[in-house]
Amino acid sequence: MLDLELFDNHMESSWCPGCGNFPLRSALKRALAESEIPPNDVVVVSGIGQAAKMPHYMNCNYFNGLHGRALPPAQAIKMSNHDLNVVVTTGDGDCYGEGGNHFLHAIRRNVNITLIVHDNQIYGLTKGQASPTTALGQITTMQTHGVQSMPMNPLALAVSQGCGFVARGYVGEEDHLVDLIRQGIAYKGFAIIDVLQPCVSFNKINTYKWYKDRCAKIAAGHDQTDIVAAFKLALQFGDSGIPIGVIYKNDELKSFEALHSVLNILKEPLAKMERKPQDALPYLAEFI
Amino acid sequence: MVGGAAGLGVETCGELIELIVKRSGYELFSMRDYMSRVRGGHNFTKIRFSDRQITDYKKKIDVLIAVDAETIAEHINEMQEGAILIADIKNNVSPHNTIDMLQLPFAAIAQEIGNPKVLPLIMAGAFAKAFAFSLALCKEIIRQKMKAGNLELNLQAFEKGYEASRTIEALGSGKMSSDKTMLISGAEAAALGAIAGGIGFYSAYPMTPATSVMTWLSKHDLQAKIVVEQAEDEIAAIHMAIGASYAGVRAMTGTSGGGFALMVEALSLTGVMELPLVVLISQRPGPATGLPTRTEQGDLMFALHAGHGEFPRFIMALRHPLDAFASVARAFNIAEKYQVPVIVLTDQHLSDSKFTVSVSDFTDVVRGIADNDSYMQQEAPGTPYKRYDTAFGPVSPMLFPGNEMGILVAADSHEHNEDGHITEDIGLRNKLHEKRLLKLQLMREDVAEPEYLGVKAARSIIVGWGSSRGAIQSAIAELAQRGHNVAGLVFGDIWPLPTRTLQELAARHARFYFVEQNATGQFERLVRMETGIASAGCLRKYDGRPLNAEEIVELYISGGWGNA
Repeated sequence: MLDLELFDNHMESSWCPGCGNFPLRSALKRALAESEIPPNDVVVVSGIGQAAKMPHYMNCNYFNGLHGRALPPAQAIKMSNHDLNVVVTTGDGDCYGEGGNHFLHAIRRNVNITLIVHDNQIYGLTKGQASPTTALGQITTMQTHGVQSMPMNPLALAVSQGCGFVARGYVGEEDHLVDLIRQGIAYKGFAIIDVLQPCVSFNKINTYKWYKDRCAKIAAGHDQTDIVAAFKLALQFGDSGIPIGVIYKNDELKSFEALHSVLNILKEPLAKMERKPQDALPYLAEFI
Repeated sequence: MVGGAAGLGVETCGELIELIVKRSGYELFSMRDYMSRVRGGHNFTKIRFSDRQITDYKKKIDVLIAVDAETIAEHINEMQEGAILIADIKNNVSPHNTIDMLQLPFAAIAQEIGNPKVLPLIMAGAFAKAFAFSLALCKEIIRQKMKAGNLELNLQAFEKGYEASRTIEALGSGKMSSDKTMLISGAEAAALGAIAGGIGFYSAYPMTPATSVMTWLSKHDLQAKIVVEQAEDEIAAIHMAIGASYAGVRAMTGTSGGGFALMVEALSLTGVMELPLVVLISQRPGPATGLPTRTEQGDLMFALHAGHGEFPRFIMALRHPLDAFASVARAFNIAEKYQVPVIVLTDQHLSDSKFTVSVSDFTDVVRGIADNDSYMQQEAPGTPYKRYDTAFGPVSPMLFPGNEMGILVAADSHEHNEDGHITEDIGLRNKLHEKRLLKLQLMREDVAEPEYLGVKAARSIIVGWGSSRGAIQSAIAELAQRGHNVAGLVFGDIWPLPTRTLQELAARHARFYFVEQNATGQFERLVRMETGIASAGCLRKYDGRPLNAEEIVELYISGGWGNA
């Protein structure tokens, strides 16, 4: 167990008091400390949004890139140095909206990184527009007649594509969330944890109470390896209940690195390899 | 020229002839003209060979190998007096007073062998006999280069074509000792340059004419120990390369204009994150989808201004394979030295054309890079480490995450302070913004002046950039032979713009004629913007076909230059 203080950088955050990001940050730090992963071995990759500011408010290596574009560099960072633990902290708009295509293909690629989506079902940073997970009919600062598009179900999508680790957490259940993050990081492949959190400033529907009344831990009897059962579980979201916990886990799935012809023969990380201009000389022969 | 519909083996035939000619000791230049389709249409390969170096194509044809009838109709008027037509006898081409016919039953022979796919081999065999190339040498080439599965069939087909043919002109061997030359395309040379430049990661989305660079790297990934990843789109492609760069791997992406358009926000990201990156743009005619398989130099201004906000970049254009090899390798070093994106401009013409180049020229380039790598050493980081530390001037010592010292490394897309944390402070904004932009002054020290071709005291200068070098070099030689006092100036480095040679020539009252493959004179405008130098006339070609020396020579002699 590492000292939690190692992960503090004492930067004042710009999050609103009561923001769901605070318990999420706490859970992330605790998960890293308990997993004995020091700051030097972590890279937090984010896009743009309140969630994406996470790396600025903790002690770690970080790559805070463009809106919607956290997943591509995150995967490449892991490919470049497999000794690093890569955690993506992103929001529902950043990941499922702007970054939707990357989300889909990151599941296919199955690089060993951990995706934590701060899902507050609204756009916080830009002040209250609907996100891909905002409920149908909800009135927002932009969708003044109510949202007309169906909400996306990211976890059902992930399960349908055979994503190897699919989980849902809730910031009101911090201990549970710590364990989910630890499991996600430990999973040898692409892991997604959709974390429900209230946006106290812009989402007056999905409040702490709203989540508390619906979130329930997945029963111990659920077979995490049963993809059909997992899919059914992932479809449950609403007044009748929101299951939280590990929905699907496939330990048989080989990660990108394990399958990659070049990466799996390298003894040292790609980033540590020494190269020189003379390396080009052996290739001249094929043109002679 | 070897011409025919796609799917008939025009490429196979052309490639075989290239090798026969090369191994027989000739220098050659080969270009490909193809349509955006997999079957049908009309494609051709034009090979020009000689005892001396060739860098461009001629409009007229000396030998036309017509794999289908349409090719004859398409190109018969381009044939010189005394040219030779090699075609199937079933086309029944009527006798021609200036063209020599070598009409043979190619299709029938293919049928006899039992596989229509061997047609290009039969025709190549007929060509080889027509010019008395060694059958033994040809068979050795086939054994080396063609797939084992069809080898016997292919050898048989080639021999039958050879036997059926007759010798028209016994060329004998050329002067080159073939094992001292390489036959290489612009794309292959660029890919090879990336290896020499220390590449570890290449990510891209397939797009003509850039795909061939990725394909070559992919074929050699295991040997080179590099990761080549086909991304889901161009946005992912460039972002992956940026991520790899942050993690300490030399990274590159490649695309054409339309794909680069999708990458532009990410270019801005490298600017503010101050990460090294090499971006290859292999140009083709636009706008939008344009002419996917043809050539243009239409993205210079786009590359110069791409990416919102202001940040420094380096731009170079590839002129010929040796230059491509050297420049791409150099691009990686410049990207890392200044922590900037380096845009490498090439085009379909250079990418798909093949040239013979001497091996020793390539090894000399490698030696030159190795001798100069002292500039890869950077200052030791300050304590405490700040990723964007301004105490070191515009370029801060760069560390990578997971380093042995246990120092944390940041990269941020916002305006940030020296630690890489978000800031809106006025003072810090100005400080960091200026730090980045000041790199331009330093980069000017590494800029290479353009290549000067021809007589020193010339008053007329034909100015070009990138792949038009081949045509310009040829034009200058032709004009000099005809007694004209003209020289050429071909730019490789585009930005920062090298201005010394231009200023020197302007001081001597030189007249500049800008030759480029775009409609709006982009390089001409850049020169005027940076130096005030006005053009005396221009040639702007935007029909998607490459420039050739003849059109430059004709224009120069007639004096019918376009106005700016």
